[in-house]
Amino acid sequence: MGAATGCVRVYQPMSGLHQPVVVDPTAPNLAGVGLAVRCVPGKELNHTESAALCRRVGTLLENQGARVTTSISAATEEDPYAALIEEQSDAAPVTTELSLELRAERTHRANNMLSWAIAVGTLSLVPARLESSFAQTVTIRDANGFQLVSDTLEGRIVHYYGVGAVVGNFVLDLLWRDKDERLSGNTAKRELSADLYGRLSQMMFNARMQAEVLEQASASVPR
Amino acid sequence: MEIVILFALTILPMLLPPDPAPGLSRSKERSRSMDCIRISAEEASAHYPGQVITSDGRGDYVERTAMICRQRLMRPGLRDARDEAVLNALDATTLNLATSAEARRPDLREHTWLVDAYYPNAKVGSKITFSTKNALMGLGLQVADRTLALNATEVEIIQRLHPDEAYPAACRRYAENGTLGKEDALLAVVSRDRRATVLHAGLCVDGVWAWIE
Repeated sequence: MGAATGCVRVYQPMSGLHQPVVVDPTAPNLAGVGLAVRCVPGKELNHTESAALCRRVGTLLENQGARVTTSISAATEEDPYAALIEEQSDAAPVTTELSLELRAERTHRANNMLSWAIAVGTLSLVPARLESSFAQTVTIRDANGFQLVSDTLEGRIVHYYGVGAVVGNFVLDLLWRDKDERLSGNTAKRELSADLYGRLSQMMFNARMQAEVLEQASASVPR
Repeated sequence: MEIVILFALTILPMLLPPDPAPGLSRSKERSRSMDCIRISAEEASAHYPGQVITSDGRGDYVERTAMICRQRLMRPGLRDARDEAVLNALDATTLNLATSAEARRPDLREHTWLVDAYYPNAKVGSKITFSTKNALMGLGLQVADRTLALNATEVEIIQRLHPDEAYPAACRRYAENGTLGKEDALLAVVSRDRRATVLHAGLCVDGVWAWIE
């Protein structure tokens, strides 16, 4: 029924994803930095989706001046120590100064059966509801494996299925809501990408700063 | 049929719990002004008695969770983004820096610790200083309110230097002009780049500067 009547997806950042971002993701914040991006598939993102995420993050960081190699790990919850099964690199091998690991997990999924019953009873004028929460763990290390930055970014997507949700939100978007408040179309995907890529850019820059300080701290041990 | 639809529309808001996601009754701006976590219904019930339904003693095969949302202190956009990011994590950051400084130089336990913040916004800088002093005192160290000073010429010269040279130079001058004594240790909390939302710290003792890891 959901597929037949259409769906409206609503994105809500829960923690970490909507922290302020200062860096401009289009500026050369990581000029010349050798960077390895590694994505670990899991319940939230399968192998193909992880590969797509890795490619996009690689492009994002290349646009900021980094020399990026990306890899997809075969590690899963069942076998967290599996070896890398795929490695791709458009450029010549580079010296890795920083490594970024992305691990996505689904933390919660709820399918409200009562809402489906009401949706059927009302010919989907009242929408059926399904929601899932996810956690994106981001870990950035230096060339020696020292952890520079680590954070878990959490969010949720609520799906509303039914004619009522699709038409109602379309009309509200058209007549009532401001541009920034609209919910229809690809808004959820666009907002999630903007939050995630913004936060990743900020965390990479912070990690670069941390690495610089760490290098100087190691070089100048007092006493 | 109309009666069924009307009835469903009437009772739906009562059947569904309030949702923090953007929608009919909640704007995206309001939704983004909250930090949320999902916890088990039992844990939520312990924190908010009477407000969360948990399963009965025999269990009902329904896994219940609760989403706990907390409104942020300041509305998004009210403060500069960098200030907001720094202040959001200030307690944790300063505690971490103070702990690192103390662990790196346990021999300075008997010294008097001074704190200075190098941050573009003076108001935020004073909050950073205050929080760092609290963290040091929490570790049982002796902290002084004394402020360090350089003359105008020294400040002008140091401001022209790269941060990697400026902080060691300032540290050296503090020791040479006597404002930083033999029994003093200066913990300087620094924002190294206007694009960074993390703070770093350096330790100045006997005119020697060292970044803290």
